[in-house]
Amino acid sequence: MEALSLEAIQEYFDLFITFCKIGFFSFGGGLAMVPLFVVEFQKQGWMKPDQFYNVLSLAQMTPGAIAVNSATYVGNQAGVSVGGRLGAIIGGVFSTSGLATPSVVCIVALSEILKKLKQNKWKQAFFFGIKPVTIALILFAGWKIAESTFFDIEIDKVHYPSIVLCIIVAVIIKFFDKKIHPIALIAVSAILGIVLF
Amino acid sequence: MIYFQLFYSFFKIGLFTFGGGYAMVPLLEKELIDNKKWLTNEELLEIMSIAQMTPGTIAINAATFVGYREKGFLGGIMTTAGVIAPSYLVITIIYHLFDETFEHPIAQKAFMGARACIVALIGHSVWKMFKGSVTDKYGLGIFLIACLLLFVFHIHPILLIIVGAMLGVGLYVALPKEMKNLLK
Repeated sequence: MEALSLEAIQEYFDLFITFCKIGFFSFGGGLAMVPLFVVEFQKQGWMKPDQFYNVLSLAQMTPGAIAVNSATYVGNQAGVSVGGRLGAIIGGVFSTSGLATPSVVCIVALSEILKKLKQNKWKQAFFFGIKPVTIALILFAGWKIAESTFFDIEIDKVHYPSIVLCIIVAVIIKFFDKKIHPIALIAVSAILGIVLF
Repeated sequence: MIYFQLFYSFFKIGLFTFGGGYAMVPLLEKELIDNKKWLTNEELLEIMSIAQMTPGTIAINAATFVGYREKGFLGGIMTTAGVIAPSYLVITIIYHLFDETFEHPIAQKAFMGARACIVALIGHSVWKMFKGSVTDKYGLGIFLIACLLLFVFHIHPILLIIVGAMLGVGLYVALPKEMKNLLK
């Protein structure tokens, strides 16, 4: 079988190792990984930078973490050349699990360290400083999403319907926070987007 | 069937996360704090702090952390697999059915609607976290400095985290008595 040939297995292994490397050397969220992605893919001959930028916009539009989405796509792309459709599906598994591996290793190690430092005052002081920063970073992420949703940079126009929808959702959350699951709100808003925008 | 629950909770979260790791905070709050009672608000904020300064994707880091904390290594694997699975399925299907310039107008509109909603959800989460966690003048000061550096000077998130850690530790060195009461 083509998808299980020696050449294909070599490619899956390469995918796993490359994405391990990318995962290990990227800090600070999905888009911080982009330069690493571009360099590695060119080296491996999986994808040219401009093709990758298309993949990136797809990855931002689909559910899930941007880096995971990109990894799955590139894994499919690299797998298809050595093993056809089945090769693509397997390639995606290897690239995605490669990306996750450093996270699992680092988080497990860190969890154990933090358990030991539970009552340590220095650790608490460390987090005392970092927690407000985390809140600011989440606020900034929200602002970035707002910017790209409410303003169309290409034609320099404000998209009012999405602002109205956002305000309506904010009012609903204010009064029914405990009763409504955010997934329901997201699903209904997506449908409203199709109908109204 | 705790392992299945861990997988399923994170599968749902992964499926409805649009716009990067931080956009999953409102979903984590609902699912892990309100519904499953696996975490408190304070612990979630700590987990997000850890997730963003550890190598790897924030979403995967947060998922692994929660799973490992609940049910050890296998728990961590289940939550990680759960948060990845929707990405893998959706992208693989798109790869085989369309090409990478896939820009269906209906999908675009649905995506716009979802994002408009997520802005409101994130805003609400930030407000809750702020009220719950920034309760003294030092915390407020660090928050304002962080906002200034981020919004005005566009400093890299990792640098900002280092600044925050230094401010926290620095305050403890400078004002040990006062800080002792604030630390928990």
